[in-house]
Amino acid sequence: MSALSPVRRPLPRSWSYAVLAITMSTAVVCIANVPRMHVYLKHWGAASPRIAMPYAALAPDMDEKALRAALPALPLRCISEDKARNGLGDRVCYASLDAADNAPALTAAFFFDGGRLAQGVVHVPWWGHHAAARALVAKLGRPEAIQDQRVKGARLVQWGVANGIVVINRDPGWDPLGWSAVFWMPRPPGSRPPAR
Amino acid sequence: MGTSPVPPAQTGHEEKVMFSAERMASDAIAAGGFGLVGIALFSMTVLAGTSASRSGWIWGLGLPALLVFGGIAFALIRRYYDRPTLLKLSAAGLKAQGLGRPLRWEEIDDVEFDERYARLLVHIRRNATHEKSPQAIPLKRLKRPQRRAAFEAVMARVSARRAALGLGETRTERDMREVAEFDEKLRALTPSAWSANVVVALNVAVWLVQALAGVPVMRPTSEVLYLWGGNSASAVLLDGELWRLFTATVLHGGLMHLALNMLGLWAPGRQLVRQIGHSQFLSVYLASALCGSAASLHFSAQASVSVGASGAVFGVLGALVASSWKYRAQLPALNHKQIWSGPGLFMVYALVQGFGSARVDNAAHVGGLLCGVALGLLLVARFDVTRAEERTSQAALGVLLATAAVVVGVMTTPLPRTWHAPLFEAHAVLRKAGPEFERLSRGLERFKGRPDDDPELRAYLERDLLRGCAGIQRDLNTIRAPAWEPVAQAASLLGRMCGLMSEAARIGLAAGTPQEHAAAERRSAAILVELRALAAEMKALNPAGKEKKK
Repeated sequence: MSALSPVRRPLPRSWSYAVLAITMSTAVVCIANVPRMHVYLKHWGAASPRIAMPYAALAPDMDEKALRAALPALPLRCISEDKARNGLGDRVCYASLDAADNAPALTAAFFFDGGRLAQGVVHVPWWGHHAAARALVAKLGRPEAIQDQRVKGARLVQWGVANGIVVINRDPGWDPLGWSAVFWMPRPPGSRPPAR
Repeated sequence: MGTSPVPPAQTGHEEKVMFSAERMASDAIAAGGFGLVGIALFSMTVLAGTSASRSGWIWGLGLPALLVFGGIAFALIRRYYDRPTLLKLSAAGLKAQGLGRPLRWEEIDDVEFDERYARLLVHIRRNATHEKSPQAIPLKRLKRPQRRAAFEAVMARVSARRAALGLGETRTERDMREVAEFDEKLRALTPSAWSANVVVALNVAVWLVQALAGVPVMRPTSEVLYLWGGNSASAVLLDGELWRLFTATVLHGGLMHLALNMLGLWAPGRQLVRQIGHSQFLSVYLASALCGSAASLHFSAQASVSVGASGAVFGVLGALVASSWKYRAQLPALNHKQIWSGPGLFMVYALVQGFGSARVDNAAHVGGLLCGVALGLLLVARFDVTRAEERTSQAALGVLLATAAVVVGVMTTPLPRTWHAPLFEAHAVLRKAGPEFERLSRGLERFKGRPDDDPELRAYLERDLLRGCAGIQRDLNTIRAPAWEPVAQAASLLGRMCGLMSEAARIGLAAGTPQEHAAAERRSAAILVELRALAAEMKALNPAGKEKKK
């Protein structure tokens, strides 16, 4: 180094602490979400379809064929499931997504029980939670119910659609790799919107 | 003023100086007030007693009231005209009210001026009698400049005597010199506090523009504040109006709200500017304001429209206190003490006081305060020459961390229960539809008892009621407020009422035969029962908005 070259000053110690804190937080978040990492790696590593969710077309009498017809752009992969374990259905069809209704999304999954559609879910990344809610408002109009108290750890906002209801969790949470979910499910006969 | 015509500093401290109590206007005003109250009470009892023929009222109530209030008024008037000597300085020593005995100059070790309680604190050297130190000389009955003059006169004599005895400067003198030197240093580094003036001017200017635009000066409604850019979780999250995080911080819920925030900002803001410089001050102000707004999204702004600069004010106070703690070794002791007992105490008081009020946005206070404290600990002061090179990088880190805090604050905000834009739109629709419905109902009452084939009634039903109800239902259909909002429920009820009235009108208009008329009457009676039930439901709803102050 020549005598005239500028002296490189190191950053203050506070920067080191900040970088260390950010690195450690990132590591903790990643370790806590190891089981989900493959979904994010796929989401970032390969392009997936961007779809418009046909909530109005979803119905409890739909079978796999009808679902594929309603979602032609989605390469659904279907496998049998243990209903006793998931409580949702004996078969599930799923696919990776880049976006649903122009809001960031990770996966879509549809559960069938006895060959009929029992539930549909779009998983939304943490950073897409508000965008997903905005998309639902734009698509489905004003919601019909909201929960103030948590039920099984979640508070929901609910919209009514032709053959069921659509709900999204109100709280995105503090985990940047956590998921929010938009659920479609048939409206139980004679049911009213959930109590506040 | 009862001082000698020649200032003591020019007299060689030998001349006698006296400070006599001033006539306080407050005494005269209070005396007048007490006198008037006494006379009023007496007159009232005289009038009431005379009209009720009860002289006991006059003797039992009126006269004692006159004597008590009149007595107090008299005492105050005496106090007003009485001007005792509060402090007397001579070549030998000082004599004052409040002191047990006159003090000789060589007895006095130090003198302090306690501005808050308007008194001199005289520290006496420990001697054989072990007198308690310090002793207080009350100066409340002197005007502010005279209190300062009294302090300076005493201090000049004490210093002169100490110098003569070879004792050096007093602790107070040393503190004052250090503060003066430090202030001089800060003034040289930051000659003016224009950035603090700019933020105060910005807040006042926005309020003035609002006032000129017709916004209520004392208590604007939450709807108005929302239209002007108040903070609301629904607007930020669902409508993507992130700019509200800033605009809410320059809006205020009335003149008092603005005045309190600006008073809280004025002196600490100027002090912080001198300490950390303009760009860092503006960074602290903006970052605290935004952090306060982001914190508010989780609490107050979930349901209310939140406005005010107090997040930023708390940030400035927090930064000042944290910075003074960080630089406690470099700040003069008196300066350090003043910051903690002034802005520090005010900050704690305002914070605690806010928790006692449901209308205060405490989340914004806490969010702004935490941001300010963090930045105060991080930023490098202007007078810290040893770390001058780190100033920019520390400020950059502060801005980065504050930005991250705001982003995380926004991203983690729950979807709110109150959706302000659709709510206020619905209020506007109902404000129009409600009276229109009332008008149609009242119009219908004019035809009560008339037969269905009455030409005037038929014309009213066709021309006014059916068209009017169709218009109301068209307006109500535009309402986007969520179904759980009372205003949406009210709109739904109004729509149903209009629908029922239209149905009754159509049945009446269509009826031709006596059987059809009879059927129409039966249906109309059933509709009337339904309408009454809906009206009762409507009465039970109270669709009102709220706003919160920061």
